[in-house]
Amino acid sequence: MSQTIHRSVAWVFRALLPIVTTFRMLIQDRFALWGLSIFGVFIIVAIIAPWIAPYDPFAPMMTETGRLMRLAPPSSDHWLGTTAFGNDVLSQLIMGSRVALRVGLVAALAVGFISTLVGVISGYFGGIIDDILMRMTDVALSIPTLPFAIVAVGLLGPSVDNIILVITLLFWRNGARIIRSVVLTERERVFVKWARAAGASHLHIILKHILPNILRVVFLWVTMSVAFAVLTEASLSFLGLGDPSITSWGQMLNTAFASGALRSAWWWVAPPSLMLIALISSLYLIGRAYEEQTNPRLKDHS
Amino acid sequence: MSIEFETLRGTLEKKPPVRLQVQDLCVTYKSARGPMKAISGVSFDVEPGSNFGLVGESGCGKSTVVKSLMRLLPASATTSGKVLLDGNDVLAMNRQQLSRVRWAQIALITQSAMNSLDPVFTVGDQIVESIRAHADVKHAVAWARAEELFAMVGLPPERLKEFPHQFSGGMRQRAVIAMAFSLNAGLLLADEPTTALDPIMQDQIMSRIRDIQKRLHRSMVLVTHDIAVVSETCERVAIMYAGRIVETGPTHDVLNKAYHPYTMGLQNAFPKVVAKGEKKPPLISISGGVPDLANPPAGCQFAPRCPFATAQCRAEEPMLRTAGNSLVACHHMERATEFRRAALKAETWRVEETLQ
Amino acid sequence: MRAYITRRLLQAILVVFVVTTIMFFMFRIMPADPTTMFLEGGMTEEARQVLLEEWGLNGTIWEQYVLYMGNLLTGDFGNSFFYRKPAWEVLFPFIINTLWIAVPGLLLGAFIGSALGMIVGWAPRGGKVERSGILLATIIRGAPSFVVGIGLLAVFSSYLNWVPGYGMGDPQGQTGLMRYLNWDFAHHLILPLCAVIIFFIPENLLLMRSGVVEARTEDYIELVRAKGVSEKRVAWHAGRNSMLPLITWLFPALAETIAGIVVVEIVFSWPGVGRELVLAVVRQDYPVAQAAFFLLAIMIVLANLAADLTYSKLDPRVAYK
Repeated sequence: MSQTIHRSVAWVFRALLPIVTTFRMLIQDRFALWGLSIFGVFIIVAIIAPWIAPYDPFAPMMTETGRLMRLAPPSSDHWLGTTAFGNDVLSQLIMGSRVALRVGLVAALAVGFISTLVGVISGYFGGIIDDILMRMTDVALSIPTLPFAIVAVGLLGPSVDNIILVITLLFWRNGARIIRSVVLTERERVFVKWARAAGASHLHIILKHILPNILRVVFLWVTMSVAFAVLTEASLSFLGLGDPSITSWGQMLNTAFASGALRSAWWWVAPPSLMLIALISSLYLIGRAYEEQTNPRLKDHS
Repeated sequence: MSIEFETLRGTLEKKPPVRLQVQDLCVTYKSARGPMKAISGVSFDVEPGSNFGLVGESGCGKSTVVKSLMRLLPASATTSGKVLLDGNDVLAMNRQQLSRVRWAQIALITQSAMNSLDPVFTVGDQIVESIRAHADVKHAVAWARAEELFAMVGLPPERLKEFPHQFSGGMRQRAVIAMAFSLNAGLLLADEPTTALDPIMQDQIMSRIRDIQKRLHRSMVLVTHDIAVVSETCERVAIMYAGRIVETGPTHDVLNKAYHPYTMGLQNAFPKVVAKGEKKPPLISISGGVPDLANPPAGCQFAPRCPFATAQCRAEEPMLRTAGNSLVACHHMERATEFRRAALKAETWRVEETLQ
Repeated sequence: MRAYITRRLLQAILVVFVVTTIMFFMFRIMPADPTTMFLEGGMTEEARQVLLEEWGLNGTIWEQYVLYMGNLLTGDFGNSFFYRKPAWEVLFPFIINTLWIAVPGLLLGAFIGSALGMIVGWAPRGGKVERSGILLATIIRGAPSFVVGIGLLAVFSSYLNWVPGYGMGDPQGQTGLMRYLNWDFAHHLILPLCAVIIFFIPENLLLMRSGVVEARTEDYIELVRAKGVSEKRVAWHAGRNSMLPLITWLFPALAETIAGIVVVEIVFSWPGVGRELVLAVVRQDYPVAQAAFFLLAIMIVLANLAADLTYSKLDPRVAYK
């Protein structure tokens, strides 16, 4: 028993090692460092959001004379002004980070899990299993992303969980392809062949030899998936298919756009736009640096 | 058109061979572990119309020398010294002057013809490109010249329309050679032109180059690790080790009466052609590897691998001095006769493997 | 070559078939019962049956499926619940409108993006051009297309008032091609087209840049430089070679990039297929939604096919067996 625990601890440690080295490699790249810092700030804000948001994001703000504060410009009480419905923009913005990150992280982990599962099974076993899974991926790759999401969320009903489900259904396909190709190379490594010749079980080989070596790629794919998920959620919310019970950045833009505030209330439109750009770009910066560092042909030789 | 073609041919044929003088050439690379001195104080002259061999193990800097003659090194390399083409310093030229000199005066036969041709252009277009970069002629005229060049290297002219991947390795190498002669440059740099080929093809290609050279009398620097090729082709030779010339002189003298232990060791590592009935000497390799140029040893660079090294060798770097018809960088070249005898014995070199 | 195209076409048809099937069952299984949603109350049972039959909603789901697929083959997408006319008739004008922004947008975006990518890729490594180029491209890539659209709208339409920000103008009785070949249409086209172009630029830029950076260390680039041609010409060799990876990446990524066009259509109220899809979903007009989705899927499959064929033109090494 204690030995199993010991073993699994050792496995977890070995599995985490590439992620730690990846992290150390990333912080050496200036752009990736920016990306990681911005992403880190978003995470912190999302965690402490309920404590730092000055107001309830849905509470209508009243003036002293008891009238609804419609489209009030930024002031000391409302740093980013109010919406056409008298809601505090800053509070909506801060709470919006929670939605973005919840959808982003949960969907990305699910995507990472499914892509890894399909990629490993397909790449490791090959043959007819590989054929079937890859044909499935081909079909999935021909599905137009956002149209599918629009239709699926329209049919399933607009809730955060449904949005996460739809994003997961959409983005496993590219990841599965990429991970499969890495597994194909790993499978041909000498130590894998030895392990097989020595009669090791498939599960043992996959867990012990294949998985630790592909974790870096999985890590990259999960990072990129966070960006895709955030983008997809924002787009759906912007199209009016978001969860109406919460505030997300895409939804803020949707309401601002629909109420024609584009010309008058920059404080309502600009902040969520900038948040989306900052969050998605920070993830792309991390992904790009990772690619640059791991592709020997892109490395700076001079 | 044919008049234009004859004019082009006429100007090309009139080009004289170039005199190359390399003086105190130094190349330093920036690397993560600090500056790396790839070439230190290399000097040699190539007489117009002669063939000059540059010999050494891989990593000794011979390709770097060739690239620096055409200023093809990456931005991380700093080059000093002089590379004089008929007295004009290539290293001091501005961009425009440089591009005028490239290919028109110095042409290059590259090391790996496999990757030397752009895969998405036809071979003919690539040759035409080299001609039209320097001669103001119509495409058709340049094409006619390319056909002539293909015939010269023994390739059917209609294959000019094909892409590099449709050529075999040997054909690609011929195409690269044809391209090198496209403007009849006064100086040819042949950087291991046969390395990527099988031995039979190597022979064919080398004799093709020699034939063309006999007709056209270009000056040529031939880089190789193959001593046999040098002895058949070059009038003079320089042996390089760790970015330095350790011995240089007439090929016959250097190969038959070596003064530097490295030259002796290098000869041992190649099969010799012997008279009938004579016993073939065993192949002996020099153990160890080339020194780390970012962190070079003190004294003679070859000392760590030299069976005859003394305390002086490990402390003081030897300068090139005259020995017979050659220049040699060895503290103990007076003892060359004794060394030559010992060098023939495998045990002297702490033999790792004996072939045959 | 012909055999290859036939095979690829068959594959494409298979993919379209599977995607359509998935779509059909999604629409039929998920909502509780489409008839309760669309049939007005107080309708007689006979009238209900007539309507159900008209919409192909009677019988078991398998019968419906066979009927639907059979109709698809004849180009019949069913009747729109909302417009009360064939879905195809509803969609056809929207397709042309979408193509007006999608095709020039993609081509111009790819052209500008790869040209800029060539410049950034050829710039000295670690220099200002490279660093700022990559940073800018990454930030623009991170900007959702509706954010870009809103930004363009705010600046050029609301603030500067240079161009209209809504719809595609009033054709005023113009018919045929003349609907599109007039100044008013062009005036309306500018902003959405710019949004689509901006959407395509960064991806192309970054891919081209990676390709050029990889290519510039190749031996053949060194030989081209040794030939004494201009530096521009050397860069062209690197760029020409980098188009190959660009094509293999670009077209399959179209599934993702179509998303950008849908959102742009919404932002600029451009009456295209994407916007109609969103409206149809909101109106629960399933025949139109299904038809629009089907068309978008076909566009992706065709784009992939085009990618393969273009690739063979660009890379002489590709041989079809």
